[in-house]
Amino acid sequence: MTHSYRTAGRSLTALHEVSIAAARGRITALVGPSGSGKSTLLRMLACLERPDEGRVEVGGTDVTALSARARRAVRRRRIGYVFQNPVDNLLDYLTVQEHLELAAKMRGSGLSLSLLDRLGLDDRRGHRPRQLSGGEQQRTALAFAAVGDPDAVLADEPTAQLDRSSAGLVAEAFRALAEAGQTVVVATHDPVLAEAADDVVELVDGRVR
Amino acid sequence: MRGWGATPWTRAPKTGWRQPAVVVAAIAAAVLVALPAAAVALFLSSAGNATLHDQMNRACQWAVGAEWIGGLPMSQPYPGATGPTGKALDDARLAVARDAARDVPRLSGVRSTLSSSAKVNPVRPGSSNPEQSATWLVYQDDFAAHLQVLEGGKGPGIWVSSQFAQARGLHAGDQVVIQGGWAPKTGVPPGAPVATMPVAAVYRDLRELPDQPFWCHLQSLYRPNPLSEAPVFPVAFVSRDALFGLTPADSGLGSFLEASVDQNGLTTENAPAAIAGLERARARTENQPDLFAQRGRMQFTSSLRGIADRADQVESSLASTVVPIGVAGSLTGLVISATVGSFWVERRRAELAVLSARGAGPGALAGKALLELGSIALLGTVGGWFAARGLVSALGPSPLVTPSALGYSIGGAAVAFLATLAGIAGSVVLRTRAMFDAHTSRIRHLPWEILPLVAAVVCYFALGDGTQTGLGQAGSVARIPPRLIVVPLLLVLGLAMLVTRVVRLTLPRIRAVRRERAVAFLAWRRLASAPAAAAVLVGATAVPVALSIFATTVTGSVQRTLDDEGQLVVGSDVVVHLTGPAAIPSGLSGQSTLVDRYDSAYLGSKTVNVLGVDPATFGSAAFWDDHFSGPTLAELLDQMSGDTPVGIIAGVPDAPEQATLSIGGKDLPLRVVTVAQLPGKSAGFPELLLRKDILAKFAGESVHRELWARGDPAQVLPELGKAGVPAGTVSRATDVTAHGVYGGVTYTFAFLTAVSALVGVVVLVGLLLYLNARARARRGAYVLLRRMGITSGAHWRALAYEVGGLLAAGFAVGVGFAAIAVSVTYEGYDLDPSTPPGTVIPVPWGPGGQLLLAAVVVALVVTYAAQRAAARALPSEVLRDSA
Repeated sequence: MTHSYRTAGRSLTALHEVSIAAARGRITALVGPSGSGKSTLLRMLACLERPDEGRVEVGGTDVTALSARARRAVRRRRIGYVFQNPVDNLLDYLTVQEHLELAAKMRGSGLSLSLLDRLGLDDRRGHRPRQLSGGEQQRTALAFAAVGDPDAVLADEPTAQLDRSSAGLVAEAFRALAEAGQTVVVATHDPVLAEAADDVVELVDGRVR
Repeated sequence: MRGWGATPWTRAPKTGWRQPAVVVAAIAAAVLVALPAAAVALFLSSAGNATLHDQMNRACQWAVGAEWIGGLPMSQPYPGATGPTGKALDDARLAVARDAARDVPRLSGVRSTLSSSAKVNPVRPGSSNPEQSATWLVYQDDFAAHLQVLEGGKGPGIWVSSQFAQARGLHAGDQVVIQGGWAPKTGVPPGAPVATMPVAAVYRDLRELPDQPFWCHLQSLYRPNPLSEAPVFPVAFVSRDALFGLTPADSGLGSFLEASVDQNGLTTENAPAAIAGLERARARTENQPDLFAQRGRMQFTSSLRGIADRADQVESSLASTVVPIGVAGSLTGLVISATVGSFWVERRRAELAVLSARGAGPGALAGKALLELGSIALLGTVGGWFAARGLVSALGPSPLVTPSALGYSIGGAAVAFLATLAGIAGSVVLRTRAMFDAHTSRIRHLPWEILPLVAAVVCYFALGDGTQTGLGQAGSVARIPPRLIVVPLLLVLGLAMLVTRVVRLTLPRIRAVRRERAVAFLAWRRLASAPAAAAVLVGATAVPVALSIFATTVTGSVQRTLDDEGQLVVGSDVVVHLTGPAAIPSGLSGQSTLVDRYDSAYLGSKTVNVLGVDPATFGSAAFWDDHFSGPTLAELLDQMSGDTPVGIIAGVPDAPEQATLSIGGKDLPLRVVTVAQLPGKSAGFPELLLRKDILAKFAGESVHRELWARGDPAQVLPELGKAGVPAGTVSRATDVTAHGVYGGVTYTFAFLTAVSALVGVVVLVGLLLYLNARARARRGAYVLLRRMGITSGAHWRALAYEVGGLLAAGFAVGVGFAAIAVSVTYEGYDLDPSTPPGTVIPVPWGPGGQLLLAAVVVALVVTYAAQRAAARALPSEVLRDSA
């Protein structure tokens, strides 16, 4: 994939002929310095943006060529996405359990609360985001993204605002998802998370090193 | 979309109310869209009803209702004829008319008025002014209650007017001899009845008072009318029996049977019922030919139908201009609706990002916005409707609106509600597509702002100039040519959008302020960092400024042009044709002049009408507008003051500088000054001003004497009456443009001005949204800037520069747009181009200044509020939020 942004009339190449593959049941970490293109690559994979050149395949389907409506359907059914800021991942008027119910409803899947147990949130199901710690919020976000068994869970710097202990819990949560058979791709600076990854892709100046 | 049943959507109607800023913005948007949409039908109805009532107020109330006018014979026309006569006939007619009127909605009871001419002389010999004995003898039901009694007032006898009593030296209790049956042409017939009776009362002469509505039907008896040849005498009142006793048996009386229509609550919608009732009453009396059609035939008249027709015409003619204005107002309000949609996306950005990342599309997110804001917008729409109702009621042409107009206005508000939702939804779709679908449309790069400008050009040629001919004729109604409204609206909107694009594209590229000037630099960088918002505010400010200045200019110009035309034709506010020598009344000195008119003189071979004027007083009494081209009236009169005779002529552009004026076979060489117009051009021939003393030498007594006066005719005419000026016919400038012909014109621009004010409110709301949307960033910046040594005063100045700069730029651009709109359409401001002086354009300095002042006040108030909000920020919270 190659992709550029236009800012103040100037073109900035964020990704330059990047090619990666993320396998089912494994955690793939995207690492690299700030501005290296990790978040851009993740947004391409999540069908939030289209590359200028190249393509993204999800489960063998070229999603780049799909219509906006079809790409939204891919996002809804096949991809879970976690933002960097824990608060940005959750709706402040929903409880933990309601987040999962919402995700299940949008995916058209059944609701399994065992995910909460796996992520250590079973006793937090009736709490709202502001009643949770940062780590709990981010694990709730993971659960929110993973409900309905999407093909892939993508996360952008999910531990950037967490302490080391919370980051460890989140890393364990990713591991649990991968072991459940999901593809996990994480953009991160966090060595804890990078160490937990099965595959590491390093990006520098928009290129894979 | 599966999410529709999910919590973010099912809870949306409640969550919408939790954000006060969004709630206020959504209510404001809905009000601003609904108000003009609902006001259109209400305003049209109000204008129609105002026209109806205005015409009724100008007309004689009895003529508007039912009026049977004719003669009342005292005997049968030929031997053998049967049927009642005299008092019995009056009683029978009255009974039938009252019976017919009883079924007419809103019609008062029928009253009878009888009149006859007679000679009235004091019994006492040697009384003064014996030639002034002719009077109208009148009997009318309840006459005494409507006269100002100066002397007496009790007991039987005759009621004489103060002027008659003064001329004849009469007082209450004096005896007078009345010779009935006298007529100007036949004198007193032999054997006519004579009666002697006391003067029961002396009442204030009706000519000394402003026109009294109750006596309007008798006005032609005592007040000279240029269109009537009826003789004018003092009016004296006697009892019914006395009047019949003074009427010769082979003669008759003038008879009026009259009823008025109750105006309270009368509208264009319920007037037809009254009109139909009047028609039934007419038919019923016509079915009684032995009473109403024999000698002295009674003619039925009612002007209500014509008045109602004209009101309907004004209403329908207004629709072609008021509807586009209303639509433009609502469209402007829709800009705020769209802004609210955008504002909502900003405020819900995090939540929408979550939902979008999970596959909720722009449609579903717009649906969520509608679920959240729908009930709020509905509240705003209802508020907008009530605001429209209240404003039209309080400030509109009339507080009366018809039930059907209420229905249409509710329909308009419903459409506005849907449009508001559409505006919000459309904006949410576009914003979320751009934010979350990375969707950039090429359409935004196309210069689509040119479309309104192209439409303006097309409308300019397609709509024509809309010139009307025959204004003032029966049934005609002046209307604003649609081109005068549609073209400027499109032009201003198109130019505003174009300027918005230009400002948005150029603002980030301009390096206008040096860094050393910290306050100005800060303000400039804030503007440059949000070029789209700044550009929209400049364009949005320009629209109401342009429209209100345009509306004020056109309203002033149309009104001034009409006023000038009326006064130029008559010569002054009031011109009284004198029937004898007169001096200027002391109460009118400094505002009146005496003019001699000599018709059909010759200047060379051209026929001209000569006005002999006194240069010392003519300038203060004659109408002149300094906007007229050429020298002023004072300069012209100065030229007449020298030894050489000077004639000022209008209407002959090629007149020679030296010419000979022939008056009654005598020649007068004079120097001729040519001008475009002169006051008093009522006749068909060109008009020549000449010094009065020179005209007197040549024309002698062959002149018509006139008194010209400035001021309200209702005050001028009683002054003349009090001073005993021998007044003949009276011409009033207001009569030229009266009769409701131009009613719709004023109403159109009143509506445009109101919509412009509304658009100003739109800008204010937009400004507040602009400030609110950046409040958080401003708080953070304020805390940081304070740590960098910027004082709170300097920060406020920077804010004032930022907001004031936007408003100032918008104001300047708006004034420019208004100038363009006026220059494109000014020829249409003269609704009667056949009458000089042509379009007169007064510059609206006053309203423009008020607008500028309002902009300055708004800038200061909103920046002060924003500064206070920023200053309240706690550094610890700000720094934590920014982390």
